[in-house]
Amino acid sequence: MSIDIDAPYKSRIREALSDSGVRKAVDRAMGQLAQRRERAVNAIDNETMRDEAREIREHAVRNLPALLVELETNLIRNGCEVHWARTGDEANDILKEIARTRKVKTAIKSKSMVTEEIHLNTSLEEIGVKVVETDLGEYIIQLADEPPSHIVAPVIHKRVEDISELFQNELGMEPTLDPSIMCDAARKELRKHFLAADMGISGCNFAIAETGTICIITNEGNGRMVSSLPPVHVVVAGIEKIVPKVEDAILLWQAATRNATGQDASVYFSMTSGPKKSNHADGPKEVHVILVDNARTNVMEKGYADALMCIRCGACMDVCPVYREIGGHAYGRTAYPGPIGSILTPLMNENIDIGKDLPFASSLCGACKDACPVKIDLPRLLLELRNDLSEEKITSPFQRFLVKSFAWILKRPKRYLIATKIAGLTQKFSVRSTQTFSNLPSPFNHWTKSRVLQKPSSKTFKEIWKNSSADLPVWKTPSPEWKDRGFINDDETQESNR
Amino acid sequence: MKTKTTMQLSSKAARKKILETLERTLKKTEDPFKAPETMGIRRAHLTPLTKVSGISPEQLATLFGKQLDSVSGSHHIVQQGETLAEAILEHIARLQKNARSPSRVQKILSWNLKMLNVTGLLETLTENHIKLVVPQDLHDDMCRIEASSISIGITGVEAAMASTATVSLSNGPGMSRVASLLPLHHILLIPQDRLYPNVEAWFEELRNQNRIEEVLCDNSQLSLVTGPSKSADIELTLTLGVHGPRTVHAIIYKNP
Repeated sequence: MSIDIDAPYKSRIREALSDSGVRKAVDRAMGQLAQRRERAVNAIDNETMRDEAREIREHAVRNLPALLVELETNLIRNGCEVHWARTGDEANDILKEIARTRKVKTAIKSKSMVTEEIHLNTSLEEIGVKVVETDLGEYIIQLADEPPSHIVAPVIHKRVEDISELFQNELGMEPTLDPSIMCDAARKELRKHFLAADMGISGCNFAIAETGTICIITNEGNGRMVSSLPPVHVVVAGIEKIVPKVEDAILLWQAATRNATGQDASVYFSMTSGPKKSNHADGPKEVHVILVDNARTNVMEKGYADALMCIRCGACMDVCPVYREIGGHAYGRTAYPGPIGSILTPLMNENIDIGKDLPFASSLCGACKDACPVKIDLPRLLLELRNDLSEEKITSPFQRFLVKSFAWILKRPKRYLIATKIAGLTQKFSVRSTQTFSNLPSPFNHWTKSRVLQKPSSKTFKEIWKNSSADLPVWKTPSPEWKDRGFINDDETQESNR
Repeated sequence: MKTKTTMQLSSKAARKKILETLERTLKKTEDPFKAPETMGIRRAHLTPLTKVSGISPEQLATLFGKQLDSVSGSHHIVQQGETLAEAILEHIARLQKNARSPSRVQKILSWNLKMLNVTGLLETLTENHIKLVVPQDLHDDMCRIEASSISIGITGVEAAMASTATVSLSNGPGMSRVASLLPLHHILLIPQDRLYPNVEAWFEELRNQNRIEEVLCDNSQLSLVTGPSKSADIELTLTLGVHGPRTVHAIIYKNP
């Protein structure tokens, strides 16, 4: 079973939380992925790698226009045709045009997030082109007619039994629960398509400006096949995928694989620089590169250029406690679930309803920030985005009222003290013997509907602190570092010194 | 013809608009980054990710083999008194024996013999009634059908990186991509002098020799390959050979 990804945010979350099967599967898989990741990043000097990866990506995003022009020049020099598209529709039109003029009947495709973004398959099918996904996970998803739920492991929400049943129905496979036999069935079926397809479509992990080279990471080898066997290869690349030099791509490749699957190196890293030469036995005769904006400039204009540094490894999802509970489909109709998706989806979709709730689907615990190989400060971006959405009055008036009053209370220690006293008293009268709340009156029942709330202590933290052992360190003056980092303002410091 | 022009015009307009928007946003006084760290400043050199202690050719060969084994590949280091051709034949015999439906190997998809540069290989294989097939044009149907029916492929390497058991395979005259892609089994021939500690060391050498462009662009595709094709898409269970080769066997030998 799967979640209706077009349902409203709250009902998606409710559905996800009530499906214990999916929850268990996702949590177990994510736990395993996180463990593998942990090993791979601890085997190297991860902090140095993150610093360097960050430098490469920030430099690239800050120099996008010049690098894009350099890339274009070198792609053309290598014999590629370069196309530019502002929107998904424009990119799809270019693809349709290439397919139409080359009389393409079947196209094979390796895993690509940007094509997921622009709904390329539907668009090509409109003109009668059959599009076959070749990544095993994406192929399963395509057979099941479902969207992917994780950017690295798209069928993470499916059990082996579901996949076996699907293969029995669709490929006529004998009943089995052995993944290697299921793999063989897919190999046989997909091999036919690889050899017969008229066009290969791929994404692009990195585009090297210096040499005009398109890099694709895969483990199965489908990326290498898609870019080698059909006579035409079309690369769909987001404009932010650029890196200046080959050494940068080599570092980011290893950063991506270590973080995505916990491998030291992915099985395949295919670096394509143009079509085959006349004396080569194989390779495409034509290579097209479509550079797609699709709201990336918008993300930058709104001040979220940080999010364009993402290398799509999925580490932020694997470590996210929210993702691990609700899974990818609960994030709705978007190519990017998880923490990075909660930033990209609202910024990239014109229809704000698609993503406006997502920045709130985070506990801001910071695990994603610590994991991110390019050091994107995801919690900070999520907070900023919440603020922007609230200023645009996209959040409900009640939500805005709550946040405003909370901020007012927090501004002065005295207000906070009074507020906690009042809360303590209210609770004395409302809760009697039990230790937990499970049905608070409206509007607080939104909280207790899906979780049980522990009864708060009747004493405030300050009271407990005062009465606790005298050996504990005593709070004197806040360290100046705290002030620098904006945790406290000057008024407060003076107040506490008094 | 007319539609093509429209497409080109629209692409040109998109290019202008995208570059203009980027330039304008980046030039604004307000930084487009919420959490800038480096302001675009970069260090001159990148640190290699994997460190290697011993760097003698023998040590690198041992490390490469060990690492390849750990990613589900296998290896053999040719010893003194043994010829490379013998080692290849021995592995073919093993593959033949272990096959799910055993049948005699008749053809091997290969690079041009000059590229492989193995003394006595052709003679040894002919003696054993095995034919080397070097594909000429994969866009030709006959060639494609023949290439896709062969279950063993044999290639050399551009370079081999010991720390991760990664090889770089190039694509050029006499060196097809399919020989390392379509068959179920891939045999890699690695001369000892092509071994590098890690991938960074190889690119450093290319950079110093001013050969980056030659190796990347003249070849049209350079592939870094680490072990056999794998997938973990079904409940994170490791499965081999989903599209590319199911076995990768490296034979490392001293250069003649």
